[in-house]
Amino acid sequence: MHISDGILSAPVLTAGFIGTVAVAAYTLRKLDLDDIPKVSVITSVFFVASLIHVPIGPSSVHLILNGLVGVVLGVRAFPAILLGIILQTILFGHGGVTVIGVNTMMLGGGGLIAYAVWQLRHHFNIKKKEMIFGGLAGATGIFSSGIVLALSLVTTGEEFIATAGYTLVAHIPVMIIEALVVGACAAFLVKVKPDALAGQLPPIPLTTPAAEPIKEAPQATDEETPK
Amino acid sequence: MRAYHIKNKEIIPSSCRSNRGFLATITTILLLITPPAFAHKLNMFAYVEGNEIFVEGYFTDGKKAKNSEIIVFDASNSELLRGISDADGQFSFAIPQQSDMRITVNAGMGHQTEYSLLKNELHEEVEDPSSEPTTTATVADENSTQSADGPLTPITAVSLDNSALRTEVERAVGKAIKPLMRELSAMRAEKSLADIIGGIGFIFGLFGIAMYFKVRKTS
Repeated sequence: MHISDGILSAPVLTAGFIGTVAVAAYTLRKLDLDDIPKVSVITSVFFVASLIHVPIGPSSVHLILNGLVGVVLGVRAFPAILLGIILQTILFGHGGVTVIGVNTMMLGGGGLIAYAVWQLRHHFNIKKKEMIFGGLAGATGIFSSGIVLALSLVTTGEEFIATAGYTLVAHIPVMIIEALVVGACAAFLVKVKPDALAGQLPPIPLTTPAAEPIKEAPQATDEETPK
Repeated sequence: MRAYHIKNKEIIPSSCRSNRGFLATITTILLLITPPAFAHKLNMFAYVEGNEIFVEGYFTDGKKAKNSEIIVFDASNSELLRGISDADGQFSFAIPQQSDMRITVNAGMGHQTEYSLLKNELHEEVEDPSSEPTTTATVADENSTQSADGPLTPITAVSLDNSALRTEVERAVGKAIKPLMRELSAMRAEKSLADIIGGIGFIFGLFGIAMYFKVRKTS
């Protein structure tokens, strides 16, 4: 799901670049030193994911995994996807240099929306919510990117409803595959290393509603456990 | 919060290893199952076949770019003609004019690619005096091996329908090189493992640099 060179008009391309720089600058401010290794690994996963294609009938689809990036990196998904797209453009010829901005808004925006969906899990108290919301986030990443793709193609004169419908139908297999992949990853990570996932709150404050007193509570237990 | 982090730091040595192992496994699996062909990048090739220009668009997974809009521009970027490709992603049209041309194929959903056809690739309708002798010579040679007659008669016969013959030869050559052209453009589109590894190297390198400056700033 990359837009090629020479389709969009100059104002759309410029808007894409301005939007990308603004969002990337804002989201990069939150980059912690401890996060850098994780961001770089996930960026590589995103970069490589576009090469994996799953055969479906006579045709095939390739993974995008912007939902996974959102689930694992949170808002840092945006700069990660930006770097991934730049390298995909230069090395693989996906999309084009002039469309890096729009493509990042499309896939990175999808990643941010996937993160928002992922965060909704805190409002539910059901079994395996990580798997369910991971799957939802994976599908939402593709879905929202498809909407942005259709929106940007509207400026070229293509009709929105038709393009959006066509794009989303074409990406239904990807949505299903990514929902499975992201759901499985989230379920695995939450078992093995929960704080590798984005927006993971410390487990104790989540279960008890009062915020102030329990801040002391885990501190106390922490002091106790090492001793 | 501070305590939570401290606690975390203590946990890291045991649990982080498995997490890293997991991520490394994902990356390795992703790398291993990567097929050499690239899905969903639109490619095309165009070449002259007799008096026509032949265009074919296809995706790198082998799917043809059917029902795609093909637009031909001249050197000054004004549109010459447009058409829709058939079920095999092919489209051919008569040469509109003797100039450089830019041909774009738009397969919808943001997939578009273009190809520049240079003027000297076009079949020249005006007889070029420099190429005249060579054509005649080859044809005469061919005929002399077939018939025991003197070379004089074939030459006169040939020079009569020279241009028709030339078109025929060009068409035959065009047909013969078609698989070659296809192979060549597929090869150009294919990326090697080196690109993939290189890209991952870029990512780690850039984040490494970022980390270096972050560490220097904090210490």
